[in-house]
Amino acid sequence: MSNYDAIVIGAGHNGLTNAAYLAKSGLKVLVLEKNDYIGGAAVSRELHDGWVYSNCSYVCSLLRPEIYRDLNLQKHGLQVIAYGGSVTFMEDGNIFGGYSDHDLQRREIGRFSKKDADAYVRFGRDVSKQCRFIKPLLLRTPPDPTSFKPKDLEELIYLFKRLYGIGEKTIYETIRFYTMSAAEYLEEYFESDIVKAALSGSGIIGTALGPYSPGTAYVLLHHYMGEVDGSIGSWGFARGGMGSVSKALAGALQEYDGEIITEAEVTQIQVKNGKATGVVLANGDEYYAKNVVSNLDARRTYQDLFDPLDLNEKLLKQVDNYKFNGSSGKLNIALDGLPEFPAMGKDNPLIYADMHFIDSLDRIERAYDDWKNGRWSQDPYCDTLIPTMTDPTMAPPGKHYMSVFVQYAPPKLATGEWTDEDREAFGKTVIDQIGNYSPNFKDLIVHAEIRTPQDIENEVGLTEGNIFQGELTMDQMFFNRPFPGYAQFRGPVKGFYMCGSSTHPGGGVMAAPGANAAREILYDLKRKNIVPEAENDD
Amino acid sequence: MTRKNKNIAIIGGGHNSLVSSAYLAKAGFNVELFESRSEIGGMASTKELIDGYKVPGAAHLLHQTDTKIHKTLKLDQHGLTFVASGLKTISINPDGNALIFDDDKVSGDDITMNEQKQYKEFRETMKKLSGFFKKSYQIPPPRLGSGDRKDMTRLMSLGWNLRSMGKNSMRHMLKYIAVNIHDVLNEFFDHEHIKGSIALDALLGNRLGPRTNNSVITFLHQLTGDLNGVQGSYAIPEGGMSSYSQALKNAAESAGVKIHINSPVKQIDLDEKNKVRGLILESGEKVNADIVVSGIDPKSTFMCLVGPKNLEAHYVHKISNIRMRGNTSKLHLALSGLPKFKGVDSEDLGHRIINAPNMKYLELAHDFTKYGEYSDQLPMEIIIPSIHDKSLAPNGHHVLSAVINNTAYDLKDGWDQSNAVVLENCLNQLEVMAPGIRKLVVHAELLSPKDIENEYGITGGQWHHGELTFDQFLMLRPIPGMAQHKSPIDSLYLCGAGSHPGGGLMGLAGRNAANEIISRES
Repeated sequence: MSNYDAIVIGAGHNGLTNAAYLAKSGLKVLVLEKNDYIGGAAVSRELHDGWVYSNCSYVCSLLRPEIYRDLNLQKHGLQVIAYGGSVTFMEDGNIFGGYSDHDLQRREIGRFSKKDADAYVRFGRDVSKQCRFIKPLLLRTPPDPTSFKPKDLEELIYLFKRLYGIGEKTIYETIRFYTMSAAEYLEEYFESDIVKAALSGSGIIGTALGPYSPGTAYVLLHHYMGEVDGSIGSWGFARGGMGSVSKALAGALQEYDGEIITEAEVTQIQVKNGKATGVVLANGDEYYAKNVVSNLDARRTYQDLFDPLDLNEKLLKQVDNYKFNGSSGKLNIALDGLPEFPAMGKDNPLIYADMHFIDSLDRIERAYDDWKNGRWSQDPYCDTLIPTMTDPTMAPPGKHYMSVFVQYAPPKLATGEWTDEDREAFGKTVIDQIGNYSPNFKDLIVHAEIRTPQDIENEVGLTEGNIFQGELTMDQMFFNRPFPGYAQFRGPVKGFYMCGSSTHPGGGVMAAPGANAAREILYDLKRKNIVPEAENDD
Repeated sequence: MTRKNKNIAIIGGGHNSLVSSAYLAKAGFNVELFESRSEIGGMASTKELIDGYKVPGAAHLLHQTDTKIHKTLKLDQHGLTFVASGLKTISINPDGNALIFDDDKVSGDDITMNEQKQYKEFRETMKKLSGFFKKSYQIPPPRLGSGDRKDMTRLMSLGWNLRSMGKNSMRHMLKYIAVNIHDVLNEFFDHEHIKGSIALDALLGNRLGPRTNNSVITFLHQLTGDLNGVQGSYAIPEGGMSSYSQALKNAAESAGVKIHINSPVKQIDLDEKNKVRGLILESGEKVNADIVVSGIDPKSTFMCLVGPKNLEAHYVHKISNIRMRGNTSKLHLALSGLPKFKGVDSEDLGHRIINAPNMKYLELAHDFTKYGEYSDQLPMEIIIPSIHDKSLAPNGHHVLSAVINNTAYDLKDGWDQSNAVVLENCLNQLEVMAPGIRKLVVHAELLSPKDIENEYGITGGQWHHGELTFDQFLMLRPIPGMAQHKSPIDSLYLCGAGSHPGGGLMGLAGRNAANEIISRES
């Protein structure tokens, strides 16, 4: 079998990004994918005749514009259509609209509280400040704070200067922002429950924390990050479904002569004399490479692919303690027509936006309580979108595709593993909630794919179905991601790297971890860095 | 002006105020202290429950005291002695299988050798981490980004303390600091009862569940104290908790502090330039002072005594956003005899008994709190001080004092309606833990956070004068920019638990404030 400079295990969007950069640098690169399709959780799949589902991830969340441009993803067929806004259906029949236009949003908030409308100006300013602070860090390697190596010290000094550069007041605000709960943070600005509930939603997506859990405030960034990135469309629909992201990345990879083999499940990473030398597939095939990169999550990588004898005991323990806390489910629904939402009225443009059906912090928190008790939320937080409103290519003419992301669903139920009946009942809970606000919705359903965290794990390989490849809490962020001492994309053996969302800066279809890992690999190979830095928009 | 001519007025007679006053008087200032109640000590007091039965007013154990303060103020010579120290913790569960924690050792409830080893390892790890806290508690935290040399020195010393912990501990610190005790305990243990028992220490007095991030901070915080060199050791002063305050009072008075009881302060008197001029008492009397030091909570200090109109708007905003939602009640029982707790040997009854069978139990109790409700299964910390100190109850009789967590200050139904129900729930719970105890009850009272607020004047009845969370910790305590004990009002300082490093009968806030004043005002 032939020799490669690098083998990337898993053709998720980060694996593809990583491979594309390595290939672009001139290395001979091979990507191995277990499924018969590429993309991992960024896929478009026709699971019902005529309908294309983005059946895992459903929007480009913060896809780094630098990478989008640098790898020419547009040329490779990726078209990101910006979308904005949200709508929250309230129990009393009212609705609350979320608009990306600042003035529209203020006017909408003013319907509920004049004071909050004013506070929204402060809120927007403060959160945007945090966005600008964090953005450049997404495409940098975290320093090891315990190290005395010049590279680490330099990065620590960079961070220190950056922090000090924002001024005393903002430093304190930043610390608070990263440690408070979404509820506490919002309560400092707003009085109206619906405003708080609508804004807090982004703080809980994909994480097993409720809005009252400290450490959820910073995720409010997502709400603003897209805006800060400008009109590049880092926050939007990929035309043709999320598979288009993977397809474009694969296109970039192939342009630089990288190879992809599907239906090639890696079962072992081979290590000789403390150095990675290649991989073994399920069918017994072996591939050799000087460098092996894993796009899989930290647990899968270390527990399934390594011989434990090649790893130290401390690392194995860290792997064991790595938290997933899978908390999300997904419904993909084929609809015979556009459902009506009477509360919204006909032709309301909010039908293009994210729809939510939960209108208070207490309700969202109770949804989380269910997760803690080993149940799916009886009154769930559903991030509901009809992508076909924006991208009609995903369903036959006149028909629609609805994507429902559901928070919270536990990886395991109190009663044990998920059964088929559980899955059906879970789906019913979600469909009933939407049905409460849309009388014709249920009759329009042609097909529904219901995915529990367990299903996501089985198919995509995300442990516990955690969409971020591991909880994004402070103990697993930045220089702690995935574990202290291994946050710089390097593994415990020479020539082995990690490039998935288990590494900095974590999950979301950002492509940042893949690019970051490529930078470190090129550094070790003493090659010129070709991975772009974040653009500065200070 | 030299120190000798400077007059300092201190508001409040709690332990931090007393410590502060003693240090300031020793440094040569003229110090007067004004306490609104008829006795000093605040929450560290002893009160008569009913005729012949005495109970701790609020705090009922000493375990976070600072040895240095203890020695500098010569508290031993000023009358502080202990009737019990090095108390064990006995964690009971419904099956009657008790766990016994004695310093770094654990036994009982089918504990294996391996679990004993794990516990030792856990304690050692955590003590190292809390050692960092302890060091950083000795000085006011730095201002960040101020450009001041002193702040930079302090920041570097914090950084150095972190680095000098060693690579392993530093990594532990940076990993655990902002998360929750639930996840940390799951890394160390499988035994549910051990985990519940340890988690309770992170939650008592706070408004957290085991899964709530910030509960590692509170855990490490309560572990910082030491008593005669033993870290995290529990003790009961002879004569009850008021003896601790009494010793502090003696120390203060011998240093020259003038203490006025029954002297509630109405207002901090400011001149036209917003500089402190003195105090105005409720009685109308004016007290002239060059410096005012407030030992009461920051909300009361600024919103009531200074008044929002004398503050810049952003301070008013930040101060009103300080979270101080009390969550802890006190249960006091007068008993006609000694109760029997299931699974607890009678010779062990004098130790600290806790009810925290597992983390889920604690989490469920917290879930009620979140919505302004209460569970009928509440976590408790129980002591029977009369076993050690016969003066507290008539012969053969006893008093029981329990800290009851997860009783929110802001109950939906209000405390007027709920007090009797919660009390009844607690007694029922106790009856299950100690069958027959209800028959022994001569008198029972539940002090809710609301009662504590009314009695001791602490906003929200919050024991630490402000919840101890990451965003109200170190340089952010009580609010950003005020963590160095100095307030935006000229010559007004804070010395209470609301400022760094927080509550727990440590006296460090008081001492650090005094040192800060001495260096600034000399």
